[in-house]
Amino acid sequence: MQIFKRAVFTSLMVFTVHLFAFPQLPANIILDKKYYGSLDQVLDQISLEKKVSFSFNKRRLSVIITDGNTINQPLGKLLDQWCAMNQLEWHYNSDGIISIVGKNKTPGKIAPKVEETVKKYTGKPKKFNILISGKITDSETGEAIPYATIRVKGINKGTQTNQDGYYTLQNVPTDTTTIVISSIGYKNGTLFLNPDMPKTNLNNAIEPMSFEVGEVVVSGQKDNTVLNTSGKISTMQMTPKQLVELPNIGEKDIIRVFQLMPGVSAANEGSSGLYVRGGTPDQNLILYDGFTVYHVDHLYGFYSAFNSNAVKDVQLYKGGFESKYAGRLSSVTNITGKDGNSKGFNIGGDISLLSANVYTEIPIGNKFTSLFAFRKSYKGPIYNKIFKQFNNSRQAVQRPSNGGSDGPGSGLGGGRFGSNNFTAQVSSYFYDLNTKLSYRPTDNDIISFSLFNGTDNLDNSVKIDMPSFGGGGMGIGNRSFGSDNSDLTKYGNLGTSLKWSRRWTDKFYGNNLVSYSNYYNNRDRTNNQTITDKDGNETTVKTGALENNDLKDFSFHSDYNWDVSSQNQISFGLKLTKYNINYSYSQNDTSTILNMGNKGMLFGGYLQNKFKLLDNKITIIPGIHTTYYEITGKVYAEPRISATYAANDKLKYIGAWGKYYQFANRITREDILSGSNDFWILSDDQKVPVSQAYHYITGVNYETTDYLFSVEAYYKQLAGISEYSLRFNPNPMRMGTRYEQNFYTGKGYTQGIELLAQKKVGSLTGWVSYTRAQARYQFDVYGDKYFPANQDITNEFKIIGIYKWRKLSFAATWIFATGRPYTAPEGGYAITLLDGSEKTFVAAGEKNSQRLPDYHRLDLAVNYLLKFRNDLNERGNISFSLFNVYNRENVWYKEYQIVDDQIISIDKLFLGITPNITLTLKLK
Amino acid sequence: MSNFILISHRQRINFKQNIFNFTLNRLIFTLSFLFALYSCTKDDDKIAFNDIPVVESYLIKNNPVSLTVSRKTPFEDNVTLSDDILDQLQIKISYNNQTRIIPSVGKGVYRDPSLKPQEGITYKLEFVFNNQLVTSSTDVPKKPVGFHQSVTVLEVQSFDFSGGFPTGPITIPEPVKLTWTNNDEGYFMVVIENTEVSPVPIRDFGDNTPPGRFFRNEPTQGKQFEIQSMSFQYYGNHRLILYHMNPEYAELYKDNGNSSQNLTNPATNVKNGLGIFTGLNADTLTLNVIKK
Repeated sequence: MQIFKRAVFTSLMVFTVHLFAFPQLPANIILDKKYYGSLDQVLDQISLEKKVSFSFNKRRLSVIITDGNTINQPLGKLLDQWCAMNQLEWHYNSDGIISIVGKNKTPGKIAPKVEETVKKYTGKPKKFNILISGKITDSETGEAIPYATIRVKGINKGTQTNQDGYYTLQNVPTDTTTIVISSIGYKNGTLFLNPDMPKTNLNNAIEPMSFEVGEVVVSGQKDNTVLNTSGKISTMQMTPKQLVELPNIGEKDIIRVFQLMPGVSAANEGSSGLYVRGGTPDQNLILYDGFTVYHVDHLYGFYSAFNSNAVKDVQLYKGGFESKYAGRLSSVTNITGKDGNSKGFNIGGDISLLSANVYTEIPIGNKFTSLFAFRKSYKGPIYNKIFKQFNNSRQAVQRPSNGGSDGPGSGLGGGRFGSNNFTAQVSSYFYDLNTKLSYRPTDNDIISFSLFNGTDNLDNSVKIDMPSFGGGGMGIGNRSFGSDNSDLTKYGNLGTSLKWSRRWTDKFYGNNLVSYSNYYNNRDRTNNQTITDKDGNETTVKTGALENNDLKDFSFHSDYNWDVSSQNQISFGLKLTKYNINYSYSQNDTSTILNMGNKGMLFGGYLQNKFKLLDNKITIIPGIHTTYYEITGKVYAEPRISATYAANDKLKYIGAWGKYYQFANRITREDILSGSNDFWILSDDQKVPVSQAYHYITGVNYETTDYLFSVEAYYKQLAGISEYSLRFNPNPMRMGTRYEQNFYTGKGYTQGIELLAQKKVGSLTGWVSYTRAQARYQFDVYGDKYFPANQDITNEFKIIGIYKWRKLSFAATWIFATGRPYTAPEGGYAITLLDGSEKTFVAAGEKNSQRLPDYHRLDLAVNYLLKFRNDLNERGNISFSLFNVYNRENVWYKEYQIVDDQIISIDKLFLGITPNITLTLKLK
Repeated sequence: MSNFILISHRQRINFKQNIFNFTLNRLIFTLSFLFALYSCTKDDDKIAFNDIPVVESYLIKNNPVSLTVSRKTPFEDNVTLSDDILDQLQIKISYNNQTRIIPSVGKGVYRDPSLKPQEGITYKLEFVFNNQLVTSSTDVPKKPVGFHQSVTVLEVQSFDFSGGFPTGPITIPEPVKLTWTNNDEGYFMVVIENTEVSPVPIRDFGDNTPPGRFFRNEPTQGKQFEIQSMSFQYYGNHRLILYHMNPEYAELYKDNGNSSQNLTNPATNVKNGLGIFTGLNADTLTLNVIKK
């Protein structure tokens, strides 16, 4: 509590003064009067009168009293005097801000004192209306920075770097203009143009934001936050650099952080997929370095498949996305992997109660960079907790045998081996591997190879190991007997891409990419009984179910961008994807119940024009994406348009409309008895229609230097959505009766309003978000009425706060969400089977008419920066997290059993209070 | 005089602010309105109970027709039930252009000793419950053909796990192999029943509840089944009943889920009702399990 009070007190004491316009150099500012009082008051006054920006610790400077001897003195000289007397240093940084800090503390990596004269060019311009182009990189690692903003200081003109860090800015007023570069996770950089410098290949490096900003708050330094809404329509950007500050359950998870934003549902501990604006995770396209990732869950969905140490940048488009992206109804997550440090060898890693994670960056020469990252879970306390949570839930619902055997593989009869004496649990784990190799043969070319492989090996098998006597196994006479129940699930992704990007001219940029993505999911729930007879012949009887899904996606993308003028940009491209999907489900070793093969090709192209009107106040992006889909033989056109209107530099109105199609669908076969399983299939327009959506989006952003307020409303109209059930269907023809898949098709809509208030700057940052939403479906099979979709959450409120103080940061997140809808039983009954046993059944009530209890949870984290005295580099962090602090018993699902003619409902819960500690270390 | 209106710079700013305030007010109003609209659509918490009957009837060749009608056990208290009385329903079974009213024998059971189903005939069920017509239909499949067993006598050694594993040599006999003809992917199931009055256990069950006299395999579209000798719990005579069944019976063995994540209505071939109305045909062999 004391620490908390001190933290709050310090946050109040830290004070910032900032002014704008074009700063004068301290040496040129001559004070024309006497300034009295404490140093903080004097600086406040000077700041107001002389339009200078200062950054300092108010508490510390308030005890320093000045002598008032300031008249006709240059500010630079006075600062030298005040600092020398009080063990302070002052720095004039690239943003024109004077920072005053403790001597030798080097907090926040203040920019070193610069030769002031080389900064702002004071002569007259020679050229007007010029074009500049170049590349923005990280000053420490040399990594290209994607989606950084480049703008002309003082006027409403700017652009963004592309995914490879290149930019082109046209119609820059003069060759002495000041250019400001900003990006999330970085300090603002300033580029002072002068007539002598080249205007192309104008490469610039910006400094990463320091973790430690507690003492010094840099005014005007935007984006000191984990997430950035970036002012674009329904778009959020995140850099994983600062994820370490947020609470976690073992992993710094990029997907979990997006779940803290409005419009993305957070109440899904059991899924790493993104439920964006009432959409399901399969409606969210996930691109990793250009290839599609089809499955994002590790360990039953508690973690995502993305290793944050290998990720540079993530963009989430919540809706109304550009024509470049297609194939999904709801949203796009575009992940850019790290290229690797180009300035020197680096190695680092994390170890938590869940996993160990190591990465290394090896540059060769100045043209080649590489990054390798590997992460593997171990059976530590968190893994075991989640594994048990899931598997206990499943074991609890196994029905008792009714005198006889109730299913396949129960040849051992009624409970003779009713203890655990013979069981042995086998290990489970997940791992992932990321590799990125980049080669830059020229300043204008990048060839990069990216590989991602993540696999979960979930093994809940039980082996019956008979004590050995008289030979191996259960030696009974001259025969032996062994049995093992397999419950093995192995799933994962293998994705790889090879990309060649080229800047053909300053105005024309293109990249070509070939990719391969494979999602595999093999499930083996079988019982093997092996009997060896007296002659040594082995007979193996295999009963149970085998399920296998294998998706292969071969793609070629070609994307081009032409900056016609500063007001006009044209993008176009081609896309080709070939799918090969196989799914099989077999039982009892012999009978294959389902065996589906889907092959299909998508061939598409897009054209988009981005143009600006009214002095760049209005941006309009019309575009169209068309796709030829081989299976249906039809062409699908997706027209889209979005617009923004910047009423002033703070207020922005946005709007978007678009049509979206989806051809590949992920089917979730919900099955608690044997665990849910997913597989992908392609639409055929017969059983499974091609689904489509219309997005309607409007909103207002009000953004100041320190704060962002945003309201967005959306309406999504859905058609051709599918629900699946695998049923044992009687065939009226009697012949060839077999399992059949039922695809129920229907329509729906989602709508909602998202509110966000974010404090972006200072010791205390964070955001409050509220979403009010509806997701409704209508399937004829359930009647004419619209019912709440499984993912429908009415109210969702999130509050996230991060407070930084010296080397410590404290973070808290609280989430509240209306309970999800579910189908409750309305009654139960029993049928006497032919062997005299009774089987009980639960009759379902109205579809999704009930709601689980509201979900809420508080997580806390404390993070300590490892940085040694006189060491400019941060060496890592130690973080301690507490998940679900007040141990809220959030209900995952309900389970029903019929006992003595009564239906009993049992709540199955999500994780309770779970601590975690993570140690992160890095060389650089 | 012209209508030209001069607006000072300050007025212009005020005008802009007014526009902004107006927009903001409209926005707040719209949001409040939408929230209010949402608030009106609160979901009803009560689970509606659909009072439909549960039917259970196996039409076995040459066995008198018997049918049980029951109600579901409601999940919630205080549900509203229809006025129908389970023993006063008019149950009709039609076949070959004839219609029989099946008489009630009490407790929801209806039986007609004179109606014995035959192969190849379609039987249609019909009655009214809760103002709805409940219907179903089935036929009796063909008698299994080629039902064969590998042995008629099985010698099984008695052994006892209760005091630990036996130390002497124990012989496990070969499984009993049952085969039949199945050329049309029909569904079959084997039920094994001990027919002794006082069956002798093969092994000591200890404190566990003695297992039942029946055991079975799951309905299969195959043409064979191996009974492992360890599946037998008792010595004595056993009936090996091979049922040839319709798919609707096989469906009963499939789970419809028992959690809120996957709950769907159980499979049934009864329209406006639940349960099973299905024809069966069987062939029986015998097997004697004796002590070695």
